[in-house]
Amino acid sequence: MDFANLVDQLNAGTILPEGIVLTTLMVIVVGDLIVGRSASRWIPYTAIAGLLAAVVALYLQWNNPNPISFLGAFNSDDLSIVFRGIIALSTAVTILMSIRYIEQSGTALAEFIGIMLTATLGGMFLSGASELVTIFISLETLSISSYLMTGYTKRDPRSNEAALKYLLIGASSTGVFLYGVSLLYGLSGGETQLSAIASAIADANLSQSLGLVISLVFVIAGVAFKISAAPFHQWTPDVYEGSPTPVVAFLSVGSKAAGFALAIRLMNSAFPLLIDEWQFVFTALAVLSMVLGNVVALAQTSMKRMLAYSSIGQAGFVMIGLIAGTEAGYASMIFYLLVYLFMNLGAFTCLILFTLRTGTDQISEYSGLYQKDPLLTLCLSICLLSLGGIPPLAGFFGKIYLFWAGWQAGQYGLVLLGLVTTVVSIYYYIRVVRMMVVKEPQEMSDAVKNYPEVQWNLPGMRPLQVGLVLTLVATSLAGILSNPLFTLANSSIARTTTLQPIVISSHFSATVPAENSALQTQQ
Amino acid sequence: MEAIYQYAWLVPVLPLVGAMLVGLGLISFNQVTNRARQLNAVFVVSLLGAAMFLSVALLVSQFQGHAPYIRTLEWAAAGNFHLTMGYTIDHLTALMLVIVTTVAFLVMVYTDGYMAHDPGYVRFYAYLSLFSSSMLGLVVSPNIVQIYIFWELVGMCSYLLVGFWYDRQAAADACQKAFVTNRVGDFGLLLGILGLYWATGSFEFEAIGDRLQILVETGSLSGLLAGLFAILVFLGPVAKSAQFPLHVWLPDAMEGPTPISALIHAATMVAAGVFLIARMYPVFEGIPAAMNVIAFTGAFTAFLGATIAITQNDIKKGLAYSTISQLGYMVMAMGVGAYSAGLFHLMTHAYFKAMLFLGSGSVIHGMEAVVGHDPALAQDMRMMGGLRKFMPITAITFLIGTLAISGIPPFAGFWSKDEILGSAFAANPFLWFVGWATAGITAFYMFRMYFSTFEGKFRGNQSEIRQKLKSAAANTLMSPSPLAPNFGPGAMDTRELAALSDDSHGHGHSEHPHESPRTMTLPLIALAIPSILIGLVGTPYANYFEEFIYPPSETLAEVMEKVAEFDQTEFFIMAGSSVGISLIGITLASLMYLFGKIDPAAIASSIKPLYELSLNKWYFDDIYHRFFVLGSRRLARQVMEVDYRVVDGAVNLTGFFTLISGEGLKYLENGRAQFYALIVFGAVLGLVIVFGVT
Repeated sequence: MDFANLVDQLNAGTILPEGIVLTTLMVIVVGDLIVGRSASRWIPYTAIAGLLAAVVALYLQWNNPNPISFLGAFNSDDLSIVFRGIIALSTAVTILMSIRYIEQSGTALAEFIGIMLTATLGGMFLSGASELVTIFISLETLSISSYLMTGYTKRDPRSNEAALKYLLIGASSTGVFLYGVSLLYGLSGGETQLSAIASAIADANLSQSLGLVISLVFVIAGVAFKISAAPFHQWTPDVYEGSPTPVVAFLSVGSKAAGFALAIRLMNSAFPLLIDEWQFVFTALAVLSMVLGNVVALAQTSMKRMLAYSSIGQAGFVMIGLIAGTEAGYASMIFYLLVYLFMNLGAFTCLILFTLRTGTDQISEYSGLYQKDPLLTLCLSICLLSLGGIPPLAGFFGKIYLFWAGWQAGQYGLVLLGLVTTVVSIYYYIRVVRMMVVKEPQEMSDAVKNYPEVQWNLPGMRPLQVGLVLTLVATSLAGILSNPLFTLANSSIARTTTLQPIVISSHFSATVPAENSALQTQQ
Repeated sequence: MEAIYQYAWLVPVLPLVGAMLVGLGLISFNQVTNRARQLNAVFVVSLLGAAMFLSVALLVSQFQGHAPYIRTLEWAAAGNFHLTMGYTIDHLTALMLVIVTTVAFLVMVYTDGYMAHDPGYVRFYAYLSLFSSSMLGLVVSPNIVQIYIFWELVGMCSYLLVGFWYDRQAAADACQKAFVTNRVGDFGLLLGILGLYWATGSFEFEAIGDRLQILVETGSLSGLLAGLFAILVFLGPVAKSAQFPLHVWLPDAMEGPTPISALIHAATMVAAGVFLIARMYPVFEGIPAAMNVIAFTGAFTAFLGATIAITQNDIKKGLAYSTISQLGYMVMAMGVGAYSAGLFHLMTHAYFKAMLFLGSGSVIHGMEAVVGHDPALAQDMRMMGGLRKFMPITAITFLIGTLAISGIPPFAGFWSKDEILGSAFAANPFLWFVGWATAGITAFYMFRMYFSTFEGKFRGNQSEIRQKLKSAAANTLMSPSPLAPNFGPGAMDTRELAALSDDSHGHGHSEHPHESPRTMTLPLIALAIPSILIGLVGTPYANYFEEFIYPPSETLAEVMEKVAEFDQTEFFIMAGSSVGISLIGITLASLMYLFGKIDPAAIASSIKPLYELSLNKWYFDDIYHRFFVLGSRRLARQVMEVDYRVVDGAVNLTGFFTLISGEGLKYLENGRAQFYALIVFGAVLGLVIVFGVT
């Protein structure tokens, strides 16, 4: 059996994008070893080029007729392609903003990017993994890289603290997750493939067993830790505050997207029989996340912590789409994550820029920024308003789609709660905008008074500027010109076969209106 | 011949182009545009002149018997709802086009002289042109929706032009009053349009009329409802044509520059109400109750305006009440079914009233040379007198206008007014009596105005009168302020107003008024010609007008038949009585104001309540102020209280609660990893227990 034959049998072509990322990673690690410190000039761009190449490869694999590969361990359907794309893109944008940051913190850039690419790799594999061992390995790849990145600025005690906390809580939740997975393995009679597990459980008529419910809860605990849904969120603010800001950006977008991909696949493939139970658990998580995330964000004084809580709240909004369980629901999740990618990363880019220039991230220090740096103010305002869901920005359409899908699926209470907490969130987002824009010159904070002259020609600033403008443009235009994104999200769901049985089975649980609406969105 | 119809849309578009170009110039190159004063004026006037020639050509073509022309294109469609826009040229439109363009053209020429020293000269031309365009668009509208659009546009232009001197408090107030009062009527009109559309499913005049008739006959629509819709539509003309009870805005609108008073508030826009009644005639005709409401509203307004005009001292206010009165005649004519008589009076009135207003403007222009730019002095007839010696052309043309409006043959007003009175007598002798008495009062106050302005001795240099008027003006400015509450937007300290009224008057630089420049007198002379002669097209002996303009429900043959049954003796009785009462009025006026045989003050004091009633405009302004202005302010304040206490309170409470809970929940985040892990395990356990229990 020659190599080509093996590749063919395993259908290994499906992981070409991951292969590209892996190659890029190797090039960077080896290149850094050979060339030394001066390699940091080209390394980030190589990484970005590799990630973009991976996105192109993903695009070419769109609508793959034979998505199952590695004997069922990896599924490269359109759903996973979209999620892998989101993760790769988020890493690319994160690298843009991290160059200057890492440079200024006095640590090595190549290693940072190497670890980040590893995390990306883990996230991308996780999005497509459809077998328990693969899921666990890729989840751990993502997690361990994240722990490393969190403690990357090792001379900063806060960073160390964050890394340690993250590791401890992460280990606990991984343990719980692993326990749940092992229960699943046992209950299904030794199956590791998700679809096989589902059918084995159905055959054994175990759907009412407490063991299965326990395994469901345990598995969800692991997933909820990744998407930082309340009450598994408590690491988030501490970790976000202590870790380097680009890492936070990645954790809040890339890592979270991987978590959502895992949630969709795991719930739909392994637990189709427990649909009421997992919807109940996620409803509880969504309610807690929306309330807690948004309400506690009101009381924050640090911008990073505020964004941490806001990301908890945003995860709550996205879960509405998951709970809806319809095609429209999943499509709205993807659409929202796509939009969230740009607006949240845009906000973090602005945060990094401000921190680099003033050395603080207290919200009160932003007052009067409009007078000194209009571009930064504009970008941060647009991103925050979009996060708050103010029309006509992208976030508004994302939220509308999510709420609409939830309403069609009959989740009235959740949607109403989402609307109310959105209003709360608008308050704390607008507070920052008001702080920057409305204040009189004499109310300017000290940090802004000593604001350095805006210089873009320092090393690493150009990519930051590119990232800033890119996210600004995407956030402003993705709302008005949202049709391509809509089409992308809808078609990725429509062509994903693993979701189809669920839609049909949800038909039995008397969600006929939801079915109709799903059909309408397809038209 | 077809070509002029295909290009008839140019008539409203040409002035629009002028307004757009000049307006854009003002916005983008303000100083350059403002410097090229007369260039702009010539441009705007020549565009309107072109529109005028086209209009005359259309009228001639229509007169020669060309079929009515209509051209529409679909503007909006949703399901089976279709909205068309376009233009129509028929007899009525052609006549109105000529009236509007000729008056507007002459007024524009006149403006050059009147506004020569005003810094807003170019802006004024831009507004004028915009108004002309809107008015012409209103006239050519083929359906009621398009009429409504242009109806609002002319209203807006009127607002802009009344408030043209927006730094004058009185003008700013007046334009708001005009706008708000018109909104009341326009809202009724809109409701009426929607109601009629709901009932008949059409926006076309004739279709609405026919279908409404069928609906009422078959009983599928109650006659009451049809009457209600008709009266709602009539509310539009009530406001626009200053009919009772919405007439109060028109006298205040005289705060605008005089050319505006002549064009908008005498000749064209206020006549739009009458025009709309004529257009909606198919609807009104079939509903006798609506016709009665229209007729009595018109008659009462005619009487009301005339009685108030008797005691006015401001020359423009007097003319304004006279306009209200004459519009009342037209509306009454429409109400009694004298369709062509009403429109005939509209035409004659447009010319002679425009001339009278331009004449008053010329007088004011001359007076300003003596007393300075103070409307309280320059417009007051007690300061005038003997002006005929100084401004002969103005005096002669004003006299012609006075004779015309008083109904002295063979001037224009006689023929039209006589026709209205004849029809009114046939319909209801009471209405005739009101109209007849009003004719006498009209003759009296118009000659009072003429005598005290142009005859006698010039009083402009008597300082005690000047002082008296100044203090009176200061009082009127002060007097409403105790009524005005000291809160809410726009509240102004009364002392500020007093300070404003002090500073504005430069002193006159001359002992005597002077005749106005040629650009002002030429339009006066030009308007004098139709004021004398235009009535001759509608004499009972050879009524060309009625052959041309007749209700859409009648055919030409019927009209000819009716014209042919003209009864000479009846005409003499009617005409004789109305000329007789006019002569009585003139005689009375000459005894009181020309020869001084009767002292007006003695009469005034002997019938003091009536005098006061007239002087205070039947107290309408005070009643409206008390009930509507103060009432709505009180309501607004109460709503504000509710908003402030209840709504804001609820919002603030929620916000406060949220913030407090946020502050409280923050302490769950204590930074200890053990605690975090505990929560994770606790949550897992809790969920498992929940499922275990259920």
